[in-house]
Amino acid sequence: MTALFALAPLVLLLVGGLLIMLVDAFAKERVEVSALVSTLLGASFVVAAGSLLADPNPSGLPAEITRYLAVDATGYFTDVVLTVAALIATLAAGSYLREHELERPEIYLLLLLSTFGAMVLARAADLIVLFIGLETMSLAVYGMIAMRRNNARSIEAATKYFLLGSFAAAIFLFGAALLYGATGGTSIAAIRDAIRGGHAEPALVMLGLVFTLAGFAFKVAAAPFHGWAPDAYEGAMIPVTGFMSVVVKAAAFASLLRVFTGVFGDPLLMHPTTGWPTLVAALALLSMLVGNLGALGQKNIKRILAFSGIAHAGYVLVGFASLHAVPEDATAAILYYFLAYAGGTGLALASLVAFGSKGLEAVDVDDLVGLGKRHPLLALPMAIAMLSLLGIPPTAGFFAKLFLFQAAAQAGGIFAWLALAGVALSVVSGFYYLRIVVALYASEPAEGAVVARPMRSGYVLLAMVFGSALVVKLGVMPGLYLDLALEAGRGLFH
Amino acid sequence: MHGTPLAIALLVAVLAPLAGAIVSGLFLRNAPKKAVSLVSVSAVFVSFVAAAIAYVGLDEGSLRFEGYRWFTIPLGGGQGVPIEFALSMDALSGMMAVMVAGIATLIHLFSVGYMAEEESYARYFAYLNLFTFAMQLLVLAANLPLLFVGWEGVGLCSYLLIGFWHQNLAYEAAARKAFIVNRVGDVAVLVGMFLVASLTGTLDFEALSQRAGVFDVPAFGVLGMTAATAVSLLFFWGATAKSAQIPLYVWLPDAMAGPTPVSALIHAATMVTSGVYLSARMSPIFVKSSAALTVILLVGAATALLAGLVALTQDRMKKVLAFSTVSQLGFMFAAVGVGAFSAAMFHVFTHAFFKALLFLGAGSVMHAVHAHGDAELDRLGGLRKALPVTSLTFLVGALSLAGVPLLAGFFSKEQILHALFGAAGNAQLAAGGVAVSIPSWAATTAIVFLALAALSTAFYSLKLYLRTFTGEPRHDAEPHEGGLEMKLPLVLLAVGAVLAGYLWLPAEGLERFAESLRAVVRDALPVEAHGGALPMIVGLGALAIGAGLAVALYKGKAEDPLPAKLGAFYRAAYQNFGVDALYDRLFVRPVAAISRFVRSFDFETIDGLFVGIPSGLATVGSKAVRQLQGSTVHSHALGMVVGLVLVFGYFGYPRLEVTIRHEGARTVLEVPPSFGYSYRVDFGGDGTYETGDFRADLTALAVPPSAAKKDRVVLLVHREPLDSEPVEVWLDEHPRELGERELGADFIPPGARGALPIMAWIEDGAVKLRTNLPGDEPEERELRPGQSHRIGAARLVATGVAFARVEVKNAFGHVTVQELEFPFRGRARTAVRGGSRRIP
Repeated sequence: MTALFALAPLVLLLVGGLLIMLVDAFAKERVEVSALVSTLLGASFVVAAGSLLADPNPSGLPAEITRYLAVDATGYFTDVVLTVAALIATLAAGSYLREHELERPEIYLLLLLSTFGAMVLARAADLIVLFIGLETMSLAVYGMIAMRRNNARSIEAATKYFLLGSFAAAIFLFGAALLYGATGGTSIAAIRDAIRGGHAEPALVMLGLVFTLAGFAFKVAAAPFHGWAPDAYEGAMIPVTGFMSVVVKAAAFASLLRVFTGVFGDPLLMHPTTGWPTLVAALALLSMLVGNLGALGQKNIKRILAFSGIAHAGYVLVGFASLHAVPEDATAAILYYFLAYAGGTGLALASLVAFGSKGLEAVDVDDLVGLGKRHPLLALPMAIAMLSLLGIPPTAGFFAKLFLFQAAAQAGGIFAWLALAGVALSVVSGFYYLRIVVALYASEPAEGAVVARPMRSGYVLLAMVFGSALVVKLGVMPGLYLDLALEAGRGLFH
Repeated sequence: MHGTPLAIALLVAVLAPLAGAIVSGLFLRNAPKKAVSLVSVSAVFVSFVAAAIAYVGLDEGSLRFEGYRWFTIPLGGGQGVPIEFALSMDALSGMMAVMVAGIATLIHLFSVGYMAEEESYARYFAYLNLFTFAMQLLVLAANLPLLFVGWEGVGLCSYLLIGFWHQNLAYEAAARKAFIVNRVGDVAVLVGMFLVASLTGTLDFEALSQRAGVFDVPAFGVLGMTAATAVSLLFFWGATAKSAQIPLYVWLPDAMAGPTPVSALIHAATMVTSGVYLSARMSPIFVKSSAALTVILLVGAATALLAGLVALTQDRMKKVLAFSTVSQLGFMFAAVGVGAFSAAMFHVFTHAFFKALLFLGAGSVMHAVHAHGDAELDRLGGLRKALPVTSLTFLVGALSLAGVPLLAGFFSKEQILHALFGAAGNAQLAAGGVAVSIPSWAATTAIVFLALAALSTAFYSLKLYLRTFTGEPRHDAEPHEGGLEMKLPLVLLAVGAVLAGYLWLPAEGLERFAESLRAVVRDALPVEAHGGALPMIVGLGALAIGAGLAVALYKGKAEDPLPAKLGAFYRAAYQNFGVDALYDRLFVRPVAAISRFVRSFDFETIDGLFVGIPSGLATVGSKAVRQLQGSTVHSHALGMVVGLVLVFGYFGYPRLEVTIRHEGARTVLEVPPSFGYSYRVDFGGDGTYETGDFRADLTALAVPPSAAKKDRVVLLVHREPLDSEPVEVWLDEHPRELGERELGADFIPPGARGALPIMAWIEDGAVKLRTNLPGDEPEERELRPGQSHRIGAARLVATGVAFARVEVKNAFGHVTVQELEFPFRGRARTAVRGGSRRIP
């Protein structure tokens, strides 16, 4: 029972999701599924946050649980990030689907199951459980993208994502198999001990590292494994784009953190010049370059956010590259970044949902022209989100980037140069983020141009208020959350 | 977050105006004006009540509200300066906070009437609220960075409010001028802040005043100054901008472009005193530098006199008051300059009342005669009958400013004069055990300046009153008094302008006020009656002469006789002695010219270089990324395969980084341990691997003597007394000159002029040296490996060269090879010891 309570954030989603399915199936009247799912996610969030504050590292749990699923502060922290992002996406979907007459209750249940899979992935202490979590999360996402059956772009996006996702899953699975072959274990602890003890065949371990890293790099959309992201993001409905860009990415990163500090946390493998940090640094640099340069010429905001997501994956990888030198600081910075990124990107996509109405979406930068002058309050969250993604104080993004780059600077050497490149490329990102703010507040639409008409709906407003509060609070009172992230990160280095 | 209930009051005092600003700025834009008035006036009033409750409950010590850790400034080496979001109140900040919120409340109230016709009513009050928030944050901040947030905040609000009527381009220009001039000062505050952080490791005021001892030692020389002087001057530099002192005072007179209540609040009573407040906060550091204090004294006194003279000649109400403010701020800094911080703060306190009163009075006059922007004295006169309340309260304010005995201004001005006479009398002031000495010529000069400034203060105060309210009307308006919301602040401020001085009297029940303030600021000099009756005689004399002249000149006159009487001097003073023109020539026009040049240069060259190339690169890069970004499953999958190959390629071949370390007599070769790596090493290049086959456990290896290559010698130069790494000089058979670069600057023995050539080359596996030292015959010497020779402070050592071939194999069986040559350093060092004995 204690184990069930300790894993309450996950159990709630699973049991609650099944119940909602039953209720929806047998109810005669139309059920407000979005409200039920939001409430469930909210409850899960509250429980996770409460556990993080009260008892982040519960002890005395049966080994049958902890061997497969980590029950630690890191897990609760990622639960918080994932439920926050899923909550924003669900609320946005609640408004979006009704406004555009696409309402289908299955999508909420897919969203719920996908979040559950993401939480399992983020907590997985065993490569098999990891893979199950990964696929639970991914399959539901493929379904969500394909939900608009009559829309060719959606089907195209879902097909592409599914094919490439299967390819990446195979690559990851191959890596996991090699690790099993090298060490005879599937749990992170067993593989780690075998490698530390010198009982593992080095060539197989190295190949395992290469393939699992490639699999993860696909899921987090790090260059050069990013090709699918712009197409998939563009083809999906806006709330689904929001879900994918945050939940999938954050869960994959969280799992990467566990695997690379656990399985590959050996000091020899983490050697700054000969181990994986330099390789990760290269991926980080490439992602920051591709993401920021790719976003420059885009008009479609979903595509801009897809490339922005690639760039942000690069920033997070800067933190990974610094793990060898300042493990605790870098872990805290990475975890903090999840929260800031979830707030910023979630808020941006929720705003985008709010800007459209009656079958007309506002997805191009040109659609937003003058919106801030007509609806100054409604447009404000989008501006806040852009400033946060750009990293301007007093928003979440500023301190998030500061902590990451500070960790890299402390690592010194090429990693300090990497931080410098990150800062320089952040400046480039100002161009496309601020273009949206300028469109909102400092431009007038041309005569006769079609202007975006925002919808009136409570759900998405709630998401926007929640997201704005999160982003501003993280920017004004970062110390509090950084302490939590530090505490959460320490769980990994017990 | 924690704090006593009383400490929570600090938070309320800061945040209430912010809440007001947000509500009226964001939500009440189209709301009725009454709602805006209610929200913003009560927000500031709440701040006042909270500050007052905290201040009354302050007792002896201080209050502190601990918010949360804001961020940490890294200092390197794991050290950092944690910055808290923390508020604190002691007697100094308490007095300021209560005064700021109190006067702000009255001015908000006055604005309700004054701005009643304004269209952007909500915007105005939002800015005014925001300003009060920033000012309270500045005053109640517990550390320098938080104070700086407030400091920037008031600057921003000042900019927004000066340019409130931004449709008028001149006003907009005035706002920009204020903003830019203040930026000049902000730089100095920032630099000062970092200097303090790096010297003391803290930016918290409380900790800072305890660690001020760091500044006692003049060990940290900065540009030939002690650290205390540098820090004090940097903060004073910042203060000259915000508090309008020479040379950065030029923005304040122009700042009168804003609505008059703004001038009263920001540019007279509160923001401009923040420089004085900062000086008082930093008094533990300021009193440690006589040099900085002397500079502050002279600048303050000169500003007081200069601005006083300019004020004499101005012909608009607000311009007179603006220069008067600059002049009075000069008085305050003169007091700071002799280390009389409490006297300076006293003058801040009384000045706030009568200057706010005078500005609001001017506002009331302008409101009455419908003057927009400013009221020309030539178009006023005879308003006493129509504006009885304004006229009476204005008179009180003018007399208080002039320093009429028993009014507030008198007491504070007397204290400043007393302090100056004290400084002139005993040049040695004792501050916390450190002697501060102000040159007595400086103190005497300052006294003369301030006496003249006081004289002109009395003159223009009365002139202002007489020309506005007495005589025949020179206007055709039908003046009328404003509503109660305008009269009430005038009356309350007038009461303050009379009574504020008595708080300082050493009377029963009142001394706590002054005493607790003196317990916080570090006065360099106990404030007592210095110089006997002399200061009072000077003060009253200046008052009598100035007031007498004003009455004689202006009583019943319609024209201003001053221009005719003073002639050229009048014209010069009227033009601010050409300072604005001078700055225009010195800074504005050159900067404009440079910027025009840069602009043209920019468009042609820089655009190409620094904008064109990066943006071109970005464009090309962006295009490339989009080109590479295919749209088919194949292309995406191809990208992944390429990525996989690259990742694999990274691990495909091992990386090799060899380091050579010298420890004692040994030279050690080190290789990085890494996963799956194994090494083997061949020393000397003879084809036999000293390590045997590839070894996975190899990390360090001592270099054996057999690694030496025949016929290869390196000259090592050890420089003494610095026990640093020796310089390696690789030689060949061609003679080479050794100079200062290799041997160090001090290798030349005493008596020798300039660098004498020392030639070195290799011959038969040994180093040959030819030295040409003064007094000696040219000498040739041979150094075999291990032998050494001393020249000046340098020891030259010949040493053998080792050769190593390092091979590394990774988990996949791929091998990387590196060949290196390096000198045996450790062995040489032992030889040096033997060698050095041979030299007498």
